[in-house]
Amino acid sequence: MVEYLPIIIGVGLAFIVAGIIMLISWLMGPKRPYRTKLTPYESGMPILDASRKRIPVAFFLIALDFVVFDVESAFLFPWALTVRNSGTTEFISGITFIVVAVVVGYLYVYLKGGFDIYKGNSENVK
Amino acid sequence: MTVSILAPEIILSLAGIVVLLLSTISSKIKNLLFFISTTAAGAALYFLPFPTRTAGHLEISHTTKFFSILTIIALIITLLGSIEYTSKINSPPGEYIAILLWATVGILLFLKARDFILLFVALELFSICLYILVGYNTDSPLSIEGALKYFLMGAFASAFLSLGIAFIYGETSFTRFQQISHALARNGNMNAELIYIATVLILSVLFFKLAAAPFHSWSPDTYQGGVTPFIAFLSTAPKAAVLLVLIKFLPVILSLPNVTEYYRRIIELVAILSIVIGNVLAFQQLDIKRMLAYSGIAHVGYMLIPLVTLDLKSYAAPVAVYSLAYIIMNSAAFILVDYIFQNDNKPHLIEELAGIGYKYPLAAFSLTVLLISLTGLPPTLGFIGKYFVFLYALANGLLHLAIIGIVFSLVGAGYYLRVIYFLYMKQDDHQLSQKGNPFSLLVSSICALFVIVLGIYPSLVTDWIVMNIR
Repeated sequence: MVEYLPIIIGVGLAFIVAGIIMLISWLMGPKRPYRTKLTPYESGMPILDASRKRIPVAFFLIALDFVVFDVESAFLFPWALTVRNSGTTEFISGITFIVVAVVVGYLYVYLKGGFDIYKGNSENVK
Repeated sequence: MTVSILAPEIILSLAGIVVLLLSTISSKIKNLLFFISTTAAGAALYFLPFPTRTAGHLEISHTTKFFSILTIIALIITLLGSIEYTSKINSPPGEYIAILLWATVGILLFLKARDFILLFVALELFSICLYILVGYNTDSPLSIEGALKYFLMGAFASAFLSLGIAFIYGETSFTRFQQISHALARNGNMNAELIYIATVLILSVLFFKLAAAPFHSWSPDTYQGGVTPFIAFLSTAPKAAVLLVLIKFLPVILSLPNVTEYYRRIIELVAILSIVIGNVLAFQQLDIKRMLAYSGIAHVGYMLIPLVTLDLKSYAAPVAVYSLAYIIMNSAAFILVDYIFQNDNKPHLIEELAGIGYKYPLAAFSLTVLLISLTGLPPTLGFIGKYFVFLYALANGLLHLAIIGIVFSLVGAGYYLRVIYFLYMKQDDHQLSQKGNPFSLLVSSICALFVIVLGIYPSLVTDWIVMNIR
């Protein structure tokens, strides 16, 4: 535990310095609040509407598909770096992974209608 | 070379993919999908690798082959028992079959794995499939509740397992069982407390997957709510696989010097608690699936009795005999519960079985045989399993465990025979629903026949088991 002492001291110092700066500006800074100044983005567009709205569930499906295929492609980077120096077994297993995970997965999602986000409720999604 | 070792896993994975893709094309080919998957299971049974001496990260021996056969038998029973199920709950059959096949792949890998990394991956593979399938009946809140409880506790269990593996790796810098046991036997400047913590973490995960008390709390809720034909699989195949891994893991941790007594106490405590809690709480249950869940906890307790001896050369054989009996009778009993009750969205009350003995004579007779076998009365396979376990316990000086086991078997007779009482000696006052899946009846009657035949001629299998299972 002793070797972590400098880190704890550093973290404590950071908190103390930040606290002192916030305290000084709170005590000494001028306070002239008005409506525009209190909006979240003082210099940007005025807020038009509520930011939390209901989103069609189809978008979540698309997002899920994206995550799945994205994770699969992440696995391919280390394989692509090492496959040149390794034997046929590694090459075949990598290809099998691509075929099973990506091609079969894509086919399944396509045949199930996972990309068809207007399916059934076309007038609701506008 | 390596490919032929993994042939059953490859066949089942490919069958899962084919079934999954075919199921999207048409919704009217349910029977074809079940035919493909059952054929694939049969092919996997045929292509099980011949036992060789591989001492790497996979073990291919008579023992793993025997437990693989048990797993695939449970798969076939479950597949035949769930042919009508998916249309009953208006869910697609393709995903159900595919995930079931992949769960089997995970269990088969788990059986063979003698490396912690492979073990963890295989455990996650089948656990995730099991979580999904418990909650497959999305119309039923009970099903979702069971799946959620199993998933949350199972996720914690996985975290404990990876922590235990990390501790062992940190102390020994190995992940293979064999290398770990050499490193532990050398016992250089190792932190023994950390190894104790790690092994207790890993043991608790294995006990959790076995639903052994005091890690059993998920099992009644999960079994009660879950998809009934699938519970036939959940309650049998993973338990037998985890028992085998426990059998193979105990020699590793016993390579530490002077720890036998310490682990003996742990396993003894878990065995006694499972037998007592399972049998006593099963008495209280009104729902037959909950009752079978608690009886499953008790059966795990019986299966743990031989392990208490920690006699690494011989303790696997009685466990194997009991696992064979347990897999056949328990999975067939759940299939029959599904056949008789039909509706999975209501509780499966024991009192609703009144008069079934006269309405479905064959189903009720098979259920009676299976329940007698679960009780452990001769001439059934359940008796042979208990006989081997108690004989082994007596031969190794575990008189107290044998007495506890026998006394609580008598307690267990109470709740199993109550079901038979309702089947035959009560008048029915309400109509149960339409005819069920004929394959359920077929497969569970065959299981009941097996239970009786092997109960009369146990030497058909037990000779081989005693010779070959280590």
